[in-house]
Amino acid sequence: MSSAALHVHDGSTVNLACFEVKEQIYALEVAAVREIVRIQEITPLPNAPALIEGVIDLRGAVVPVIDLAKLLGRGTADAGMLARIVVLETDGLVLGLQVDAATDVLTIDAARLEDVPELAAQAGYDAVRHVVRRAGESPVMVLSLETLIESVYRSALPSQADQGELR
Amino acid sequence: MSAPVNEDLAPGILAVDPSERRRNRILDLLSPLPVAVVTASGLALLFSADVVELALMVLGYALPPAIGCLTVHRTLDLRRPHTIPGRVHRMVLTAGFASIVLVPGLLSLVGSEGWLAPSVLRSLALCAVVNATAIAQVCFYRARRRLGRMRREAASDSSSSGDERRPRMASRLQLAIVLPAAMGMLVVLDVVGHLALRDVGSERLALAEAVAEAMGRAEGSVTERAEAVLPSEAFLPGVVVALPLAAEGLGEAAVDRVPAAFVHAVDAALAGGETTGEIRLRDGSGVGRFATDAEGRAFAVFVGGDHPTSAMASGIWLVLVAGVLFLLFGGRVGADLDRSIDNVRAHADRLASGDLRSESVSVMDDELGALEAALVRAGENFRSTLGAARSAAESVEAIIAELDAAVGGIVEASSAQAHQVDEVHALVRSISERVGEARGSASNLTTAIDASSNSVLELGAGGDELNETASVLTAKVDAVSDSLEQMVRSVKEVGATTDRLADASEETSSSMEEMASAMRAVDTAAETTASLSRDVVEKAELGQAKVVQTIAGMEAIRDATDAAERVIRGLGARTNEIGGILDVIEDVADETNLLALNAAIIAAQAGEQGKAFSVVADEIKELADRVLASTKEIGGLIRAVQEESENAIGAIEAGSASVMGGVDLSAEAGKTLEEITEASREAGNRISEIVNSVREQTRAASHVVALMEKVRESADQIGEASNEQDRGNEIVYRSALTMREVAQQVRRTTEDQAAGFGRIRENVRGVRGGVEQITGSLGDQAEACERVTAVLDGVADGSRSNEEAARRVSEAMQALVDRAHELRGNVERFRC
Repeated sequence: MSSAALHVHDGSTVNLACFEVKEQIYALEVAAVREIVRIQEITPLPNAPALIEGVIDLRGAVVPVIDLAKLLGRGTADAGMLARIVVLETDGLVLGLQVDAATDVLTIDAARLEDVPELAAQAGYDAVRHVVRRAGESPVMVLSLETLIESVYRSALPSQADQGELR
Repeated sequence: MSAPVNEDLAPGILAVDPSERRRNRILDLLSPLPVAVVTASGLALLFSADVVELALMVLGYALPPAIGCLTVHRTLDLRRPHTIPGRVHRMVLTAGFASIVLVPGLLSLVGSEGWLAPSVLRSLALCAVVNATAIAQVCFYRARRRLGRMRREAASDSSSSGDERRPRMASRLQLAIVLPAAMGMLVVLDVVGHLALRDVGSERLALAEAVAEAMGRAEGSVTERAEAVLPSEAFLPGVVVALPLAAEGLGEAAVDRVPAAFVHAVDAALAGGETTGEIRLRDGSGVGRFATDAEGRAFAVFVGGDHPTSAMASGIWLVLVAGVLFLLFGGRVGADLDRSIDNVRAHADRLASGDLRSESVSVMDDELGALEAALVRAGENFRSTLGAARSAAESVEAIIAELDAAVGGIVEASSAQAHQVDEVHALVRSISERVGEARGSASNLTTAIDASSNSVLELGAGGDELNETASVLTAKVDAVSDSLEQMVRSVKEVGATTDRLADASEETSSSMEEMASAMRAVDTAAETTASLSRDVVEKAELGQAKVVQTIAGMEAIRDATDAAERVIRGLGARTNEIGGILDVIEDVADETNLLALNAAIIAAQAGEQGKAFSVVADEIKELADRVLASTKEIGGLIRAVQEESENAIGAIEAGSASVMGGVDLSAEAGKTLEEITEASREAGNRISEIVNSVREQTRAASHVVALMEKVRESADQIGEASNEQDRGNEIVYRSALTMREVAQQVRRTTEDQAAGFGRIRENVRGVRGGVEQITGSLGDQAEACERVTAVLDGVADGSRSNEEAARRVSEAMQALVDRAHELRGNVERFRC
């Protein structure tokens, strides 16, 4: 919950890669995004955790893919023509996020990042860290990369995953 | 009670006279008598019986029939029918019958069940007897009623002696019914007696049992005990006997007074191992009881007596007497009745069969006798009538026989007449033939006279040659003049004929002219027709050409539509290609968009250095987005174009199909037009032929007309020539007439000479005229004969038809005679 975690340029702007899941705009900090590729055939993994759809071959490297819609509890992703895989790279971990569409890259003032209301945080889901309101457009929900990674890990460990689901 | 009785009251109620009513009353009062008699007999015979039982018996047996009979008297009473209205009368009748049949039965059933008869069978027997009595009463009344009706009918048949006869049959019937009733009552009595006997037997058995018990209690031998128990024989003297059995044996005295049957029965019972029991003798002469005392000695007590047996015997005797009486009286009554009825029926049968001989065999002086007498009287009346009828028939027959004879004479006379007419006819015919022959001879005579006349003439001629020469001359002149005349006439005829010929040729010519004009009209009409058909042909050919053009146009249209379809299909294919290209463009734009996004990310990651690059990347992305939007629009447009072209192809195909239909129709129309053309052409040809032939005819007719003209001219020329000849002939004729006059003067002189011969000839002619007159008169005679023959023919026909009529009359008479015979036979059938 601190904006310090974000990579702020000039102390005033922040770059966000925006994408669409279930007709809502989400965003991640550009720093963690390696690239955005078209959807391709996802090879399912046997005995994989529920969140992991499978793996893709990204120029010779095997990358696990997570359905962001599923992760956010919004059902499953639409495999439309515009569907994309956002490839993240953080701390040496490469991970693909399946989204419905990748929209654009925004550069906004850090002051426009608004904290998520306390009540929503307390409700137990802290995947959304900030919200950016835009005039005439739907708001952008900035996701917390750490929380995402943690969720993935949790789902990979069965007992903890159970606890997490209970929680 | 007044004598006249209303007969309309109810069917079957008869009018009776006062004296008969009195008799009826007596009979009616006597009708319950048998019951009373039977009751009294029962009282007398069963004097010793209980008084209450007897009273019940009287009630049970005598009262019901008495009530029934009284009811019948009240309801069917002939004495007072007028006091009972019709309807009530029927109701009371029904009630009376019911009481007759039901009340006695019920009462006797109740009484017997309670007091008198021990068994149902017996009570039923009693009931049957009582009811039989009652029914017999009813039957009696019905019989009496029927007898009354018969008597009335007999009285109406013969209104003389019916009232004098006494209705004895009624009393006989009464007797016949009373006797069986009495017998039935006696049977009842017998039954009652039997019942009483049974009761007496039971009492005696009780007595025997009491004696045996007392003896069992007493001391000593059986004889001593018996003496002790039975203190004196005066107690029912000779009835009770104690019998010591086994060791002591039967005493002499005892054996005398006890029936052997009883002893045997006791022995048999003891031998069978019984020690005590009852014995009942079947003939009812006594009952007994045997027992064994304390010391093992058996003994028996017998109670006898013949008192009930004699009662039984008297009952049986009574029954027997009653039966005999019934047989005697009832049988006689029945026989009498049968005989009377047989007599009556025989009379009736004889009457029916037509035997009217009077033979009164009546032995009865009752209603049946009256009926029989009436029948006899009716037969007598009938016989006298028949006698009259028979005599009438005989007289009729005699008259008819006379008539028949007369008719026979007529027939014979007419036959004879016909015969005579025929003979006369034949005679007249022979006369006629004779006359014919005579006329033939007269003709012969005439010819002979003619021949002699001729020879006289020849003689005259031979005597006057001059005269002959003059005659010849005259004749020649005459012949010349005649031939001239003839020639003139012929010439005139030629003229007339020529005129006629000219007229005829004129007519022919004019009719030919008419025909020619008609033919010209035909020619004109044919010409018109031919030109019309030519027009038709031309127009049809024109139409055909138009059709061909139409077909060509249609085919052009079809080609055009095919081409359009092809073009549109090509357009569709092109749009599809465009779509493919658009897909490629879209794909490229998408890729560009993605690349621009990645470039923007990389630029963002690069920080300040990448800012400019970021702007470029954004622009590229924007361009790619615009390209995407455009491709989407173009794709929509292409889809619309494709849809429209599909629609166009559908429309074109429909149009093509209708064009094809139009082509077919046009082809058909062309064919039809061709046929029309062909037909018109043929019609034109035919018309041309007609025109040709008509023209030829016209030519021929013109030729004929011309020829006729020539004929007429020739005829005219002939006429002129003949006229001229006629004039020449007139001159010749006049000179010939002059010549004739000269010749006639010569002839007149010779004629005077000839007159002498003429006179001779006239004489001869006179002879001949006489002969001819004879012939004529003979002819007249023959004609007259013919007429006579014809008249005689008519007469013969008339006589024949007369004869026929006479024969028919004779036949009719024969039929009449037959009828008379028949009638007589019918009358004869009745024997008198």
